[in-house]
Amino acid sequence: MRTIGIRVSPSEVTFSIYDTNENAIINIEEIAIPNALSMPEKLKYVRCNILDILREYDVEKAGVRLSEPSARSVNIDRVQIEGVIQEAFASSALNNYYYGAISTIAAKNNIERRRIKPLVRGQEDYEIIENWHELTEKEREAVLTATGAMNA
Amino acid sequence: MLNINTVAEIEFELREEIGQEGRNSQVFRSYDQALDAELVVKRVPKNSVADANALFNEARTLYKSSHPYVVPINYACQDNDFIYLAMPYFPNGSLAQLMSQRFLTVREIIRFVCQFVSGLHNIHSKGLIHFDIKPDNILLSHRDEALLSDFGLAKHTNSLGLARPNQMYVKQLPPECFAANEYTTAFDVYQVGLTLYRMCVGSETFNQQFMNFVVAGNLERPQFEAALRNEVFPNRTAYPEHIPDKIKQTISKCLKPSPDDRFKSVLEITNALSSIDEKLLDWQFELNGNQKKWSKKFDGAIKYIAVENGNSIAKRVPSAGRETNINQYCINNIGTRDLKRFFKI
Repeated sequence: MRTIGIRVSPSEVTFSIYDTNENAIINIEEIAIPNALSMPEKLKYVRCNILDILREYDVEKAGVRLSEPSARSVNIDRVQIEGVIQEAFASSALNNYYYGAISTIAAKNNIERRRIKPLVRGQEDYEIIENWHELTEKEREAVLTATGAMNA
Repeated sequence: MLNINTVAEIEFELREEIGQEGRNSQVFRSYDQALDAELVVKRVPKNSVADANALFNEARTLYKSSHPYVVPINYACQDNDFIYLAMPYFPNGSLAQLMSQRFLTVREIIRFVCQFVSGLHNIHSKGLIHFDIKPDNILLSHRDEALLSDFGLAKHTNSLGLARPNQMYVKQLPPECFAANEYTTAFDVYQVGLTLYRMCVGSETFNQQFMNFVVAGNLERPQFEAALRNEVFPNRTAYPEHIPDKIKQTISKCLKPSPDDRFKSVLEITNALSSIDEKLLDWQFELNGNQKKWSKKFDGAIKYIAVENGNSIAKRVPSAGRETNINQYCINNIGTRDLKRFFKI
């Protein structure tokens, strides 16, 4: 089975594809969001591309990492993009999906909440992928979201 | 053989012909009575090919490629002499028609490319190669979104990711056509680059460049092939001054003579165009004889610069009141660097 994990920022969407049979990450990529588009068109663009990627990789389960509800400054654009990704999941052929902030992702991975931050920062290794410390924080979050999706 | 299928009738009124697509097909506006809808019907005579059933391939491809940025198909049917493909009517016409009226702004170029390339990504992910990407085959929706159309040459790839179109149009040929007869999705990447190029320089400039290789109605094939391989055609230095470097670099990479040197996936093309300096997005370029002119709306006013014989006039034109010169940019022998600075005001 293949899963996807998605991490949003206002200018790009980072996604990671995880193959549960091989216990391996088979892709980490990003969809850059064109600044020439208006916000409604950016949302449509992201939605279309996410649906295509789900089909392209035969993804069965998915997760999207959401902004922390307790964050002091919330980026509206990011929240809106996270919204259309959830909608895309609901419109897709996925078997199951989940959405949540770091604590949800930790629970889905059966990892203690306090271990997540050092993992995301690359201070601890994540055995599933070799070059863990070379990834960006966003990529690491996408990977953790993807592995957590196995239990969605 | 006994046909156990239900055969039903479809009734539509063929209205005026709105274009000819290729040698063998005609396109009509039509009215479908059962649906009470105005549609476009493409009509292909069955005697144009040995296996009439193959004529439905385009319809099948379109049906399989259902996507927000791919032209939808309503139905396909046949009578004794023809097969018919019914599609929605798009009154805004094609990208080629829009490009024949005026130059596109950088914002429009990027927006259109992102849209039809999304559609193309979809068809690539379904194992198809389009083989005929050009401004005429991109239609504009009622929201002016660019939709990929005309799948007449599209083909499924084999297990090696290769396919071969039944025919090719020389103006859009990628260089590998002179060496191989099966192609990968890099063929489409090249044609996206060529379409992007035409959107930047205008169809007229592109066609003039191509016509340099046509002598007495015949293509000078060896010269044309060399120009493709040596990255001379299309001319990578013919861009108007407002085209951002990022777009030029993206085009150059799409047009690389070796398919391996191009973008690996069409999504990489749109990723490369995702962050362009906001100040460059909205300049409207015009070419009037020898005069080049760029204009843009600023709160309640238009600023423009016009360049003729190397000399420039720049003005601010308010919606009411007197226009004023922008003295700093009224220059004799204005250079590209000055123009680029003006575009960032």
